[in-house]
Amino acid sequence: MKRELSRRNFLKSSGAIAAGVLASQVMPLAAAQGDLPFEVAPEAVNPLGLEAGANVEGIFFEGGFGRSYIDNAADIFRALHPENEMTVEGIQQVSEILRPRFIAGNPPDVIDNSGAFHIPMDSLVADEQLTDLAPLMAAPALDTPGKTFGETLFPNSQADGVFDGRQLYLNIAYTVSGIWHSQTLFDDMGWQYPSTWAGMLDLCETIKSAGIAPWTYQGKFPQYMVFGCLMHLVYKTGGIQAIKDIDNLVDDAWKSDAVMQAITMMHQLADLGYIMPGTEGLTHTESQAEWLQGNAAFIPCGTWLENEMRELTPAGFDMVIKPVPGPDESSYHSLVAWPGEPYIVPVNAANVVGGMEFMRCMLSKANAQFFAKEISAIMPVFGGSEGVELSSALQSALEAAEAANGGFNYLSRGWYSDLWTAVKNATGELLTNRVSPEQFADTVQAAADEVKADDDIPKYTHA
Amino acid sequence: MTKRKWHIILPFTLPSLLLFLVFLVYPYGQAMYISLTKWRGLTPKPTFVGFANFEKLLGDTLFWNALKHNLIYLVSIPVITIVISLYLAFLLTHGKARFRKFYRIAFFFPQVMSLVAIGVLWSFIYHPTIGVLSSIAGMLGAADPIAWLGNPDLALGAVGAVVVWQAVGFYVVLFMAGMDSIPESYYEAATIDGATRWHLFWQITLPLLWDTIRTALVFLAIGATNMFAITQTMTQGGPNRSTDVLSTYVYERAFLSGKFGYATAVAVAMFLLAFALSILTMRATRRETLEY
Amino acid sequence: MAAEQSERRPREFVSQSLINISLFFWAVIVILPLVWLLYSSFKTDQEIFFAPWALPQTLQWENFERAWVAVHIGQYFLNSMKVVIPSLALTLALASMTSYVLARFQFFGNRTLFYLFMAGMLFPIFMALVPLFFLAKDLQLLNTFTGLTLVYTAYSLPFTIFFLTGFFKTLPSELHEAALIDGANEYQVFFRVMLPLAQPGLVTMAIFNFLGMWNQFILPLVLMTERDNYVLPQGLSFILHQQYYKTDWSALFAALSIIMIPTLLVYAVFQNQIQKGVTVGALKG
Repeated sequence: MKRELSRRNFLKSSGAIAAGVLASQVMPLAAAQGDLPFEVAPEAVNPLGLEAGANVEGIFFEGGFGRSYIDNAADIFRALHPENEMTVEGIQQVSEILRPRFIAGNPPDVIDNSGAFHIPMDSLVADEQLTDLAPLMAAPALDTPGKTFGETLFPNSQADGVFDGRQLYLNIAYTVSGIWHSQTLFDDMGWQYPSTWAGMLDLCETIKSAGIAPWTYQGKFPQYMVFGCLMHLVYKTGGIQAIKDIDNLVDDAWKSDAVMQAITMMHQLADLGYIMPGTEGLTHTESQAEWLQGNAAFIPCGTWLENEMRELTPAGFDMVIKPVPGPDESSYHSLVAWPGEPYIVPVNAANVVGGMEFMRCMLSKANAQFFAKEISAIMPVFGGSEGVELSSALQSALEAAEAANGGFNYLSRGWYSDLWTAVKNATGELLTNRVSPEQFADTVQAAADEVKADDDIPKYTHA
Repeated sequence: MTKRKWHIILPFTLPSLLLFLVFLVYPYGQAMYISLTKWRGLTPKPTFVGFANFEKLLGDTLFWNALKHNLIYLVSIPVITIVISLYLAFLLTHGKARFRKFYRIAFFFPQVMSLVAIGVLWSFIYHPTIGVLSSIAGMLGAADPIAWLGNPDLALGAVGAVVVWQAVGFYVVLFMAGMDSIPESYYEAATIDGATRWHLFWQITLPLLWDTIRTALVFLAIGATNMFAITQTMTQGGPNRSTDVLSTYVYERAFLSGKFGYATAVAVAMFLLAFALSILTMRATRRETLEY
Repeated sequence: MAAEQSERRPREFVSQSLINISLFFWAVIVILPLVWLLYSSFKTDQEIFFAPWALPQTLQWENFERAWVAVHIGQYFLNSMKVVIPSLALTLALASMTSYVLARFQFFGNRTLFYLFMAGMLFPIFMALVPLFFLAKDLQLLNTFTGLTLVYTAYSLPFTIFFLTGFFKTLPSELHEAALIDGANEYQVFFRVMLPLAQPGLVTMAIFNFLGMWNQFILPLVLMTERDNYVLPQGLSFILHQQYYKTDWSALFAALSIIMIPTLLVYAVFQNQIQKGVTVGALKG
């Protein structure tokens, strides 16, 4: 499972330039398959053996991505299997609505288990509620001839869904996180994005003296600084081993020199007064609006920022994402690559095969292109942005991801929700100078120890 | 008499009781059983663990932290709300103010706003840079913008203030209804004797309104033991758990951590506490009702 | 009136000013937010965020159109009415009968019954969601307006009974006895004498329950899972949760305004009822 995403593959995936890309969209239809806009090889039509007449019920979290891409995938499914009906329902309160269905033993066949009210994945895994997707991963891909479904997905993009060697969920969105700024503002002021953390602090001083707050963050949700800054710094000071130690609940992992250094680096922003006063009282939208107004120069976020703030973005703002600078230039490029929007197929579903078959349509190249074009977001599918004109923000994100060779991820976020709640809270305290880096490490380490000692929480390993 | 009495008691209570038993007591009873189990809320068979959850609860600092906030609310919100409401209701009833009818309608406005609206509205009022309160603080000489909901020392009070702001309208209407039903002749007699409004309030209004105030106290106390919706809308218990209350903690443990057994144990503890407090409040404030 | 005021002593004048200022002050802090919400629903997102207190530059009527189309407000509005009106009627009918008996009759189990109902207010509803779902399912009430009506009523009963019991206790017992002596039976006493007297209390509870039911979000969540049957708060929640990922605050504000107006109207109507009710109540004494 240690395949790194090669630079080459990434170029292919982002490949707005690939020749003949439009061909896939104007190909003549395959004989049997109704309205499909692409050809399907005979062995890829029904590799999982979906029985005619077995209907598929899908219930999906309907959030920022909307539901058009789900409907599009369902349309592909219906064209592929005219004998099977497929229902699509969008909901928000996933946990409240679907728990009774799980308890009753008749969950829907496929679920987008996302949003603020999703069912914790660790619970679903611990209670053996999820289907091992191995047959799906090994099945031929729908519209990438000669490849299995699994081979069409970005390597590592599904690593967090692997529990004890079983693929239990699939991320359908691929985001990277880092630090955002307005290129226009930087050009106007003659500022250069720094390549080291020392350079970052210097630039912050310059920005501050220009009368702008250097940083803001999504105050009431300090976790943005965790995935948008802290974990990057941990990787840059301690390498992937420091990340794995945290994921694997190694004793005193949070107190290691490397992690302490990373915490201290982030704390400098607060200590030196580089964070916009009042930030801690803002929501994510409010802080991002402040940033768009030019009241702060930097903000951490994932690639969804552009779509999220579309209505509020002033013309010519030109937002770009950059990696968090590390202690030295050699570590500049790495960043957190964050696959998200996980889909599951419940093991007790009436039509497990149908659920998996729908996922083949969901993560097809055609649907990925629809996703890129209509939602301005990326699916972790090779060829998913072929023929699609990307926005500058998305383009900069793909470039950053490419330079980072796909980026890294920390996995325990989905395993130990209590630990990451503690990290979030402690980060808020650290960035408002209410605790020192040492106290931060003590608090978080105590939470990690508590998780480790709790026999009710199943443990996993980041290998 | 006795036999005839049951002719009205049974048909008048049984329908309510039936609905209540079926849709409240039965599901609540089932939920309470969960407090004796280990359950992630996904399978039909919880594992029975006896009182283990309750034992764990005693040593859970997050539970005590949330409880402390409930108690702070419990002491402050009812008192402040009732004082303001009584004051306004009395002014409207006996203050000879203009636009009485207008005020009476206006004060009720916050009650008709949905919680979503209130959450959105107050996040703008509490906004550190563009918020109204920060502008006022700035005019008074505060150097830095105040992060009302971002500062653990201020957030609890900030949330509580919104509750008071919203609740006052209802209690003004309630107290006015009570005050209006006190016969005018009492006041006339006292006024002739030279009593000021202040005297009227203490000597006539307050004693005759005691039942209503008692009711208000219990309503508000019950509200203060809950506080779920407003906290969830405004802070989700943050920053750093400084506005956690029992109900949000129950919700977090159940739906976000997937510990339904433990969460229900907290809910049961919360229930017992609220029940004891309500009875206590009613006992403590019970007096001979004044007949008039 | 003017002459009377001029004759007042200075102290009286000061206190009269204090009265007017107090009332005016509170009116401002409750009305301005409402006004702000209303005019903000005519603004663009940029205006809402970058100049939150300013008036709209041009009126954005399409915010309402978006709210109407995206949230299906009209449909959900009707659904809400279909649940709230019968629930309200049922709640008031059942609760007033039960409260009357609890307040006026000494019988074995009276206190127990009262405390039992009271206990019903104190448990967090969301913990009962799962059992409630299975109950509704077994009774074939899932996704039905009847089911939701029964559940809304059941959950409104404890508070309403609690309040009305207190209210009936404050009513003079002489009328009750007088009516009985006049030869009325207990039912007639209740419906013809006590219920009209209880009108202020009933109106208070009608308003209180209307607001609670109109804004009820948790119960329909698991009991009304088909989109065609959604009630208003579910629609609102839909648009609110979209805010987390895609800013369309102007549509949210418009939706909030659309939802708020009927509640305001209902209150304005009941406002008169309160006056009438109070007049009836004033008979006593």
